[in-house]
Amino acid sequence: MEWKDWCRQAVGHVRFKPDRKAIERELTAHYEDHRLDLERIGYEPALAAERALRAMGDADEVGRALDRAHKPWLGWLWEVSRVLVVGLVVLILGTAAFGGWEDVRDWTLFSQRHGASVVFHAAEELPCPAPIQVGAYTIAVERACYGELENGMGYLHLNASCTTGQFWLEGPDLWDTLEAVDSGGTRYRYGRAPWITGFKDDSHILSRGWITVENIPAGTAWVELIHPMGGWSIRVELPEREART
Amino acid sequence: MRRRECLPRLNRRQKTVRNLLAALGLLLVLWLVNGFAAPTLDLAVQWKAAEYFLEEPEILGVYPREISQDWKEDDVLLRDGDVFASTIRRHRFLWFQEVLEFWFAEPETGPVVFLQQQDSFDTTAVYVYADLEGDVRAVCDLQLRSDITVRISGDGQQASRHFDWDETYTMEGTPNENGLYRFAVQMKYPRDNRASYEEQLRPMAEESAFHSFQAIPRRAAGSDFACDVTVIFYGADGKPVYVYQRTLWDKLDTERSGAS
Repeated sequence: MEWKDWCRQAVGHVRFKPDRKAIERELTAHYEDHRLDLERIGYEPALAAERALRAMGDADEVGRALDRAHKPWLGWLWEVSRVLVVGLVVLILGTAAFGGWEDVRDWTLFSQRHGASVVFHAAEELPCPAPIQVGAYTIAVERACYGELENGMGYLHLNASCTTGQFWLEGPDLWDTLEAVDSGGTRYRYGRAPWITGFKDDSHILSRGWITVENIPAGTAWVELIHPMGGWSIRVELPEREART
Repeated sequence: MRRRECLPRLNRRQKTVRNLLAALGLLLVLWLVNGFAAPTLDLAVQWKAAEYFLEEPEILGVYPREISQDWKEDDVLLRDGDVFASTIRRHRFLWFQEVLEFWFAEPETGPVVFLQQQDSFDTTAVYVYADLEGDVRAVCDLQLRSDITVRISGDGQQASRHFDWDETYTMEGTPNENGLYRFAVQMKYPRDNRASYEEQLRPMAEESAFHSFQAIPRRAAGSDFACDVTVIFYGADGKPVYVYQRTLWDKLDTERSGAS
């Protein structure tokens, strides 16, 4: 039997065909090393080739062992994993090329806002209500200020933080769907007086925002922020404030 | 070469595990660079709805926006119980898609809800949801009234004119399987930038009226604008089964001056 026939017979047992060439190369290198070693110690080339071939063993047995070592499922999984990695790198570069990266720079996972450092003139710091868990979010009032506007009416300013474990979500809406009602029954809504205004940034895991309720009459005991669709509310007790004369 | 020698030699199984872990990480990076956008519209709506604390949003209809071929956007109309909203679906790179902020319809007491397109520079449609029996088509009259003075100047020319704008847009529609009607808005005075300034005044007044219309959900339509909507629903026999009427905005001064 010639080396090439031996090699073809052994490699024919390997079911994962993409590996056959590499196996063939490795077996040939092994065989050639042995053959050349024999020649180096004085064997005739033909005899050296015969001995080296014999030393390789039974082609079918070696082939079956090689097939066990080169499992087709593992081979294909490996190939798929390589394609997957290369494909994903290409897609990421493609996203960057199509301007996706620009969008990403506009948002953050954690809010960079530090509203607590803002100083409100003639405003009194109030105790913050307890955080609430609603939907996917935990909403906490980090700072509550109550002050007086130039027209003598009061305003309530809250700095709020919203955290969620669902990192793909942005912060909750604290804008046009939020309402407030005070102890006197006055309703505050977005876009119509008396006002409630709000803002939140586009951060994901931790977002921050603020809510302001304006034109609160003197003597109001509390203001309750209400999210009618979410079914949650936060009540803030207000200190006594004299009506300006 | 030296670096390669430093690295542990991995067998195929280990390389596969390494590659799969790397693919998982890269998939996360891919999602991140796409702004954590959702892979399907349903999921995108659900995620956005979570920001409004809505739990079971149902998509009533999805209609392509006829703005430009390059800009792939769709109007998406939703409901969650008694809450109705419109939004925009944007296609991003690959299969990713996002929906923008929800615009909520004013609460209604009857079986009909009027929905405006989420913020749009060009109004292309209005939507109406109807929970009626036997309605097969509807006719929508959208009346826009505005007190506006249009001025254009440039290239040494100028033109100016006052309009007591009062136009009614009559549109017809049929319901989809969810009871949603789409009424396509057709501008009466399409703008031609090559026309003389004088000829462009009326189209600009019309655009201005529609911009005010689009500002209604933001409560920012201004003090010189009024909008009424009437929708008549017809049964298979051609007889009206329901009439919906609503003043969406009425801040027009009663004593208007000038004439068009």
